[in-house]
Amino acid sequence: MVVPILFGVSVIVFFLMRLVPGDPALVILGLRATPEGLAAIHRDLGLDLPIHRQYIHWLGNFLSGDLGRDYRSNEAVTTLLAQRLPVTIELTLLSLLMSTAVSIPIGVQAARKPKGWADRAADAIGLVGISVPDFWLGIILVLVFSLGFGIFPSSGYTPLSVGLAQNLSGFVLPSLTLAVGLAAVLVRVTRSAVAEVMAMNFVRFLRAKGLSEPAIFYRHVLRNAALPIVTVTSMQFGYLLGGAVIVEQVFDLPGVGNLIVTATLERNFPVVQAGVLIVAAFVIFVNLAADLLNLLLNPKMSEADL
Amino acid sequence: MSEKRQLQPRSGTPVLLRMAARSRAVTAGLAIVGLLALAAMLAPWLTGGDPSEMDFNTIMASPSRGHLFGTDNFGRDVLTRVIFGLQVSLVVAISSVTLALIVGVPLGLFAGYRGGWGGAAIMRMTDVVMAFPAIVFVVALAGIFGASVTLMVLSIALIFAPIAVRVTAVASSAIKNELYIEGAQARGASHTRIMALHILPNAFAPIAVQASALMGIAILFESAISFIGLGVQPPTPSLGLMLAENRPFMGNAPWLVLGPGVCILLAVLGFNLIGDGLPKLFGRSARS
Amino acid sequence: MALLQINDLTVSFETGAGCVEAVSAVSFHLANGEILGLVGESGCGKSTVAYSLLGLLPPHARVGGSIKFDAVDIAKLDERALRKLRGNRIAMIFQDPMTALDPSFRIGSQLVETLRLHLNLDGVTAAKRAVELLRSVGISSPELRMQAYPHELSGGMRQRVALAIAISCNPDVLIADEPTTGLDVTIQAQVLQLIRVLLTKEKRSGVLLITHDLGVIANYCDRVAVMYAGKIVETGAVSDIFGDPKHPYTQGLLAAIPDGTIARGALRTIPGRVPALTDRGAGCRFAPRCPMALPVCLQPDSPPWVGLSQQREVACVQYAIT
Repeated sequence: MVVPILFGVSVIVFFLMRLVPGDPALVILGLRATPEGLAAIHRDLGLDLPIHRQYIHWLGNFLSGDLGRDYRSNEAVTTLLAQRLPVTIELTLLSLLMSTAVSIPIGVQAARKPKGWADRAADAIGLVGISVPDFWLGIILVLVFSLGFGIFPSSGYTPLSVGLAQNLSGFVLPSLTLAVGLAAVLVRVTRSAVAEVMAMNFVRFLRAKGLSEPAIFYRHVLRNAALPIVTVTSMQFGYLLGGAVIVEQVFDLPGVGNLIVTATLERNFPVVQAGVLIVAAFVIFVNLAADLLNLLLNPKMSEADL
Repeated sequence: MSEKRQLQPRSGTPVLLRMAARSRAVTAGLAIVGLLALAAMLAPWLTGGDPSEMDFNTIMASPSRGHLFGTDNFGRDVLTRVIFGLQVSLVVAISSVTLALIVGVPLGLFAGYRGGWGGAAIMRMTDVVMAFPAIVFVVALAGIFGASVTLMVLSIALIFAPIAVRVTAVASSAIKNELYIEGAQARGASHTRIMALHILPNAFAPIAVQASALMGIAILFESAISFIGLGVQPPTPSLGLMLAENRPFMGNAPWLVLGPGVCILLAVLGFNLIGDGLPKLFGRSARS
Repeated sequence: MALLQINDLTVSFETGAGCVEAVSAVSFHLANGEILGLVGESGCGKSTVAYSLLGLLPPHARVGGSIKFDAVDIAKLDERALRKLRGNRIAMIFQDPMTALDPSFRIGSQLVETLRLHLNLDGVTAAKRAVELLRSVGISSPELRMQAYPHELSGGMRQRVALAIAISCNPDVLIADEPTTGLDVTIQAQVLQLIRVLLTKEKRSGVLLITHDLGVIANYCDRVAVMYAGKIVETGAVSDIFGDPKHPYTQGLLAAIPDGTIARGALRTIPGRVPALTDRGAGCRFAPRCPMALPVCLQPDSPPWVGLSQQREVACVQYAIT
C-alpha cells in the first residue's frame, strides 16, 4: 500500500511544480538573463528533456538524497530540511504527548462514568477543541502567558544545545496550541472505544469468571480499546503536521512548515516541492508504523492486510 | 426504520420545532449558524456599509456603544470588518463544500455501488490526495497559482472531495446489499436509476453529517490560510487576515484579536454542533 | 438438601421513571446432579434470575428474597465474597459464544487466568490443567489450540472453550444462559450433551439451563420451571410437564411446538402479547390471555401456589378450587 501511494504523491508533486507559470531559469538569472544563459540552465536542470524523463531524473535525484537547490541562496535543499526537520518533529511530538496525556485519561474516565465530570469535560473538549482556530488560540495564549504573565516566550526557537529548559520553554505555547485540536479528537475516540469494549459480551464472561473490576478494566478492556485509539492517533498525524505549518508561523519557529510557507511566498519552488514531499512521506510512514503497531496489538490482523 | 418514519413530516407541528425537541445540539448549531449567516447577508445594512472606512479620530478605541468590538489602528470599526469578513468566510466555505460534494458524491456512489477496477482506482486516488496534510497542500497550490479567493475555494474543494468520495462510498457499499436494492435490480432498474433513486437518498444522512463538519473545517482553513498571507488579499476583509494585521497591536488593544477570533470560533462551533447532533436526528444510519 | 435454594427472589430496576419489577417472588431449588430447565419467552425475567445468582446485576438493580447456597445467602454477599464464588463454585456460560472470549488474548491465557485466580496454581501446572480441560471438552490437539486466538475458532469451539473455562474450578453449580443460540443444531446437541456428561454425571454438579427452546428442555433436563412475565407458573419433572401440562400457559407453549408430536394439524399460538414490565396488573399475569380465566384470577392474591405432588407445583386457581 505504501509504495503506490508514495509514487502517486511524488507524481502529483512533480507535475504541480511543472504547472508553475514562468521559467525557473528566469527566476535564477533574473535581469541578467540571456538566451544562452537560459539554455545553459535548462540543460543543468534537465528542463530540456521530455517530461517523463524529467520526472525519472528528478525522482532518481530525490531518492539519492539530492532534493535540488534553493533558487535564492543556492544552498542544498537537503541541508535546509535537515536544519528544519528537528524543530517540526519536536513540536509535533511534544503536542502529541500533551494531547494524549490529557485526553486519554479523561476519555477513559468518561467511558467508565457516563454523565460524570469526565464525560462532561470530554464533551466540552471534544466540541470546543475542534472548533477553535489554532492560530487564534496561539495568539490568545501569547496574549495571556507572554504579554500578560510573561511566563513563556512569545516566539522564537532556542536550539537544544543552548539548554533543555530554554528549548522546552519556547515550545510550551506552540505545542499546547497544536495539542488542543488533537486532544479533541482523541478524547472522543478514547471514550467511544472504551465504552464500546465495556459493552462487549466477553466483559460479562470475565465478571462471571470472578475477575475483579480493576483486573477486567486494566488487563482486558484497555488492551482492546488501545487498537482504535492507536489507529486514530496515527491518522491524525497528518492533521498535526498541517497544524504545525500554521503554528510555526504564529510562533516564528524555524520548522519545515515555516520553510514551506516562506518558500511559497518567495516562489522558491525546489524548496516547496521537497518540503511538501517530505511532509507527505512523513505522514505515510507514520501510518505505516501505526499499521505495524496494530499488527502487534490486533491478533485478527495478519501481514497480508498491510 | 421507526426512527426514519418519524422524520417524515407530520401535519400540524412545524419541522423545526420537532427537530428542536429531538436534538438540542442541532438547535443550538442552527441558531448560531443562522444568526451569523443573517448578519453576513445583511452586512451592508447592519453596518456603516464600508469595512474600509477609516476614522483617524478613533484609532484603536476600546469597545463602546458606537464600536461594539472597538476600532483598529486605522480607526476602522472592528465589528463591521468582522461581519464583512464572515461574509467572505461563509462564501468560501459554502462554495468549496458544494464543489467537493458535486465532484465527490457521484464518484463515491460509483466506487461504492459498482466497485470494480474503476471503483478501486477512485479509492486509490483518494488515498493519494489524503496523504497530503491539507494545509500544506493548499499552501503549495497558493504558491504555484498565486493567492486568490477562487484558488482557495478550488484547493479546499480538492482536499475535501476525497472525503466526500469516502463517505459516500462507504455508505453506498453498505446499502447496496440491502434487500430493496436487490429487489430493484430484479425488477430490471438501471444502475443509474438505482444509484439516484435508492442509494443516494439512503446515503444522505452520513453525507449531510460530513458536509456539516466540512463547513466548519473550511472556515478554519480559510482563516488560517488568509492569516499566513496566502488566502484572501487586502483590502478584502477576512477574519484570518484581520488577525494577522491586528496582532502587533494586541498588547495594547486585545479587542483587536478577540472579536475576529471569537467569530470564527462561533461559526465553526455552530457547524460542529449541527454535525454532532444530526446522527441523533437521522437515527443509526448516519453513524459511520 | 438442595444445592441451591431460591426463595421469593424479587429483582427490580430503578429507572428514571420509577421502579420496574423484572422478577417477582420466584422460588425454586436445584439439587446435585440434576439439570433444571428454566423456560420462558424472551423478556420473562429468566436471564435476570441467572444474573442475580452470581450477583452480576447492574448497580441500579434491587434484589429481595434469598438465594441460599452452601449455608450462605448470595443475595447478601459483598462484591469480594461474590468474586470468590464466581467462576469457582458457581460458574456461568452465556449466549452468543462468538463474542464470549476476549479477542486479544490467546485461548490458553484465558483459561490459565481463571485457574490461577481461584486455585492458586503456578503457571506450568495451570497450563497443564488447561490442556486437560480443553481435551475434556472435546477439543482436538489442545496443545495447539492453547496458542490460538478466539477468532481462529468456530462458534461451537468457542463455546467449548467457554465451557472449559467455566468448569475449570469444578463448580458446584453451572448456569448456562441460552448456551447454544446461534450454533448449528448438531453442534448444539454436542455442547448440551457435554454439559450433561461433564457436570451432572461425572461431578454431580447442578446445572441451571436457561432456554426458550422446549426441545432442549425435553432432551436434556430433569426438571423444568416455566416462567411467565417475571413469575414461575409451573414446576415439575420434565416427563410430567410434557405429558400432562397443568398451567394454561404451559399448555399453550406445548401446543405451539410445531413438530407434530404434541399438536397435530394447524400450528397454534397463544393469542395476545406478554404484558410490558410497567403494565402488570393485579392477580394472575397470564389471565388476560388465558382461555380459562375466571373473575377470581384478577383478585390481588391470585393465583394461589398449588402443590399437586412432591415435585409438581402450579400457580393456577383451577387446581385450588377442588
